[in-house]
Amino acid sequence: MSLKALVFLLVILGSFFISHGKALACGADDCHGSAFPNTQGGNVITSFTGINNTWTPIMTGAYYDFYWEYGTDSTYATASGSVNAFGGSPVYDMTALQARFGSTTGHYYAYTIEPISSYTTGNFDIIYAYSDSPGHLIPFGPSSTPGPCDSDPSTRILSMYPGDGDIVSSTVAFTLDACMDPADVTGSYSVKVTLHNIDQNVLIPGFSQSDLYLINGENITTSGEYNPSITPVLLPDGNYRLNVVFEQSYLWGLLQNPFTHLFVNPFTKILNISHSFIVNHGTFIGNLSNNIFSETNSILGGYTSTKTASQLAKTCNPLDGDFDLIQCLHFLFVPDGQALAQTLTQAKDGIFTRMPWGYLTRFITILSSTDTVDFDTYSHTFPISGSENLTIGFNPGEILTGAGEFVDSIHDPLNPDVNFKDTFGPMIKLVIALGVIITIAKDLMGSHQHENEGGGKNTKLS
Amino acid sequence: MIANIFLNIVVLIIGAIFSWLPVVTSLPTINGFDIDSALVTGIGQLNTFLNTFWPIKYMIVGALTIFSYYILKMGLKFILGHRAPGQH
Repeated sequence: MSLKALVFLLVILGSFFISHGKALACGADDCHGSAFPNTQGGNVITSFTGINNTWTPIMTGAYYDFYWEYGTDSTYATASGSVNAFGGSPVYDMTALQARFGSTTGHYYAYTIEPISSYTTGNFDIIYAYSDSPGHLIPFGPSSTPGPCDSDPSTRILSMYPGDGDIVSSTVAFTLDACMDPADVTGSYSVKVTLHNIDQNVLIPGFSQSDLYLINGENITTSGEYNPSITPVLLPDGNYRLNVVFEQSYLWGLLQNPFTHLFVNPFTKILNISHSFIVNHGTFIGNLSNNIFSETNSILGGYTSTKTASQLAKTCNPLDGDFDLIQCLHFLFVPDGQALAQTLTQAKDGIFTRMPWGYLTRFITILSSTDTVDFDTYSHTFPISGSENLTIGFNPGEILTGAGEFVDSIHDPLNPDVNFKDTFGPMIKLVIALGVIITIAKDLMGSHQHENEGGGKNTKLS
Repeated sequence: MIANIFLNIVVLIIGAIFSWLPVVTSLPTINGFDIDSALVTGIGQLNTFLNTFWPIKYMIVGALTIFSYYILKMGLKFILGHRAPGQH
């Protein structure tokens, strides 16, 4: 065996024993601390484990190992993981820690834990929050103080300079203070900050050669506050737009959901915010472009699905303090999405269900249904002798369920939360998606056959 | 709001025009064979099967995507004739 292979084997064995050693260090029976069962969203936290207010800082540095039990009323599973310093600073400076782990249901639960006394004493009171999905922290427990980054996309940007509508001097020191959720780290999100020169691009929409990438796809590797260092830029006078995007990596999204990713939404963005600003003096055309951009954004973004008669009365009344001609015109003439959906539902119920086209509607409704129906069971009784009968039954549903449970029971040996589907599902989807693409591409390219000068098709012999 | 009212009026008028037609709630039964319940049962059992054996669901989605492509291509050929891409 070569030296490289030996080292590789030792690393694998070492990681196995480390991971299992941690789990063994705090078993389910001997690590229960004071229990304070709390329910939220159907889950019960039975206990935090270990000493020092039921959780144990084991490791030194910015990370703590912890163990706890969680689950539904009757089923509990032990979770373990690392608590890392919120914001990436040393623990002793911190007012909050954040932990994240996966559950058996595939959801993620985030906790904000705040040490009140000095960590050197080993005694911590904890304040924690609960989440039923990557993102929202919901206050949970005896007292709660959500961390500064509470995952709401609209509050992800704590501050951003220049602000929207600011007029700044030539040397612009860009700053960004943003919040990164643990889901951003595992979801392979990255940050892109782009500076767009409006004056130079206004005449050639769609092309942006003069865009300057202040941060070009920096991967999010830690959760908490994010303060990138951006070199100040000397800018000529004019109108600019600063755009911040949190974007999921294309490959990651492709692996997670190839069909959606390929055909519907190639780049998953959780945040897309723009600030328009002026360096010293704006230009006429730049201001015009900016105003159109702002109005379009406000019409498409801020004002949708919020229209009410009272709003209309206020915004369209010149004597009212809230009079706004743009909003008024928008309310009057741009169809409201929610009302439009209701109208379409009415059309579907009132028109599309009528005979004879109603048969087509019914057919499509049945085909698109997600309801499940159990398989029929079959049995037959054979007379054996005299009054004795033999009944043989066949239940395809049981066979299917058993096979499905067997497949679902196959777990990653090092991560019990990951089953066969979690591991191989994305790969199978990717292979099928690639097959679809290749089939379509082959057909597209094969549909054009070259012809020779005589009008005949080229073959290998011609 | 005006656009919504206009669309509502259009839907109401069309609905009124066709209001005399009977509403279809289920597919017909032909020669004692209930097509509606047969389809509901069949699709329901197919959903049960696909929920259990999830890779097949992906394969069906892939196949449907390819079929959609061919249908789109046929539609283009029908509408554009020889001007459709790939036609001579």
